[in-house]
Amino acid sequence: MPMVEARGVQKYFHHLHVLRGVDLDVERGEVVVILGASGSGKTTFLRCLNHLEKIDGGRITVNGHLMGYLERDGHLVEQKERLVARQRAEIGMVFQRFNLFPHMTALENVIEAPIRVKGRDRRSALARGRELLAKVGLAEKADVYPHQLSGGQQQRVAIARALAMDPALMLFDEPTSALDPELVGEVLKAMRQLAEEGMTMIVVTHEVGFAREVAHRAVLMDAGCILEEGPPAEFFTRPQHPRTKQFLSSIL
Amino acid sequence: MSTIVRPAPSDRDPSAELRGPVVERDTWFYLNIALSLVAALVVAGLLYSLVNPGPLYRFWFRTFHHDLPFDIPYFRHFFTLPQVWSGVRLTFILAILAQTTGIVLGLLAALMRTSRIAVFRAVSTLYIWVFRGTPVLLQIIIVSDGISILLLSMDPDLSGAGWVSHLAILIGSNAFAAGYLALSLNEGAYMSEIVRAGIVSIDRGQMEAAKALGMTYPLAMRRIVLPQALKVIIPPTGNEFISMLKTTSLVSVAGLQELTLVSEQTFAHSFKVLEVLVAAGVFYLAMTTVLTVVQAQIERRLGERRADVRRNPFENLRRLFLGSADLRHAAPAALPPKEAR
Ligand SMILES: Nc1ncnc2c1ncn2[C@@H]1O[C@H](COP(=O)(O)OP(=O)(O)O)[C@@H](O)[C@H]1O
Ligand SMILES: [Mg+2]
Repeated sequence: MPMVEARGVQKYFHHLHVLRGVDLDVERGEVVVILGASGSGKTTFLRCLNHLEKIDGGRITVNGHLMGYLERDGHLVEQKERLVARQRAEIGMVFQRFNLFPHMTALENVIEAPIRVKGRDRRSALARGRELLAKVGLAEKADVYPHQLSGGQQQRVAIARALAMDPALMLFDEPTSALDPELVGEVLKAMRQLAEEGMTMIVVTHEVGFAREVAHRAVLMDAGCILEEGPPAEFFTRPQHPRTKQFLSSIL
Repeated sequence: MSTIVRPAPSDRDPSAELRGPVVERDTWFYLNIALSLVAALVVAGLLYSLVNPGPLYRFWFRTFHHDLPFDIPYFRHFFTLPQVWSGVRLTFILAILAQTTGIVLGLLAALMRTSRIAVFRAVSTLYIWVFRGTPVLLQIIIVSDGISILLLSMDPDLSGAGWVSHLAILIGSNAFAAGYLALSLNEGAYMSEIVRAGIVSIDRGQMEAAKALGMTYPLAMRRIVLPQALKVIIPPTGNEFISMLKTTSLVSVAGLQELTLVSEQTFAHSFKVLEVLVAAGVFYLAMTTVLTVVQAQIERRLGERRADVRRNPFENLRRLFLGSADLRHAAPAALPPKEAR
């Protein structure tokens, strides 16, 4: 059973048809990179995967469970908030703009959800939190507030915060595109390490180097559909579709 | 063309270094000293004449051939009256209770405004509309008189001895309860707008990140959004508190023996209108000053996590009373990382 099964996912914003039948399966331990022009629906698709956005058609299952809905007589029925929250706790998400909690230190950011959502006791959450901060190379920044950290450091804290929930799947939405160029490497390094440990990851990024070296599969999204996919080695060197060629030439 | 490698600073000629700007004692510096001295003299003179009316009195009598229009001994006497102090106490207690209740009501109304239950949203909107849109004086009179009239007319026991009539008399005769109720309701309507503005000022990404971590809406609100919104909510709440302290004077129309009514009753006997009202003003000023200082301290605490906040308490008091001309210079704003698109 794949970790993620998205079948014919449809999404409208009022009259704007943003996702027009997205199909994507992601196996356990697989790293999939999603590329595509701005406005092609990459963010919206990621947000549908953890039900931050409702879908208007199709099915999304994560870890074998229908995400955010119950199926009744062939229709989707909105799941209770508490249960959706429990499903989301299994999926880590890293945002373009970090979204750290500014009123909490790095360590407090990391331990908040494990304590409040998973009911972990404070002492073990603190130990695990320090461990995760050390893992992303920020052991000495545990008691520092987000505004005292550089963008790259903030994003690494955000990764540690997501990992603290022991997610089965990690979603990254352009995790390095708000960073100054010299800070991109440290974030990609943390992500690469995570991939090597076997984490299932869906990464929206235009970092071709990362995609080539880390991803198992690259996917091109265009106007709300997946247009082309394949192993990175093939995808970046011998794309088939003219739009893929056009897009790749625009970012390389 | 090839690139040029520049020498490190230590290799340069030190005499060629640019010096930093020097702060000169300019005209403003001397003007400030001169005006401060004059102001200090005036204040000292006024204070001295309050303690010892002799010289001021003689000056006034010789100049205008009248008694001093302001009876300083009586003015001082006012501060020793027990009913005045009990009025001050009532004013302070009423303000604190009504403001606290107003904050709770405001929070409830603000949260109800985004409820999934339509009736809650409607009730909250209606409440804010009515209580912000009518004079608080009217609300005080309606609560203190209107409700008991309404209750009396509803009592099925026509003898006037039923429990409804008792309740009506209790409300009608308890000016404190009526004032407390009216002021709390009025304040709740204003506070709800302040709370709402605080909540919407928080970036939506915060709620999203909290939800992505598996938090439910109430939990995310309580742990993530509201604590941040507090920074936005607290300063105007301090203003509301100061305002509330003065608004309590309106409850004098319901017969509550608070500071303003006590003052009116006092000059009704002594005819020392100016002395009494100025003294009452001094009391109000003292109470609002206490609140202002407390407010400044709280705001300082809230800002303390920011590295650029001054911690020097003397500097804080100086800023509180004298303000600062720093606003004349644009402060470098700490910008969040810009979103690359
Ligand atoms: N909340 C929203 N309301 C209305 N339109 C939206 C909303 N979010 C995204 N869109 C629109 O949906 C399209 C896809 O957006 P998005 O998924 O953010 O694209 P990408 O991440 O690939 O740049 C864009 O045209 C965008 O303007
Ligand atoms: Mg996007």
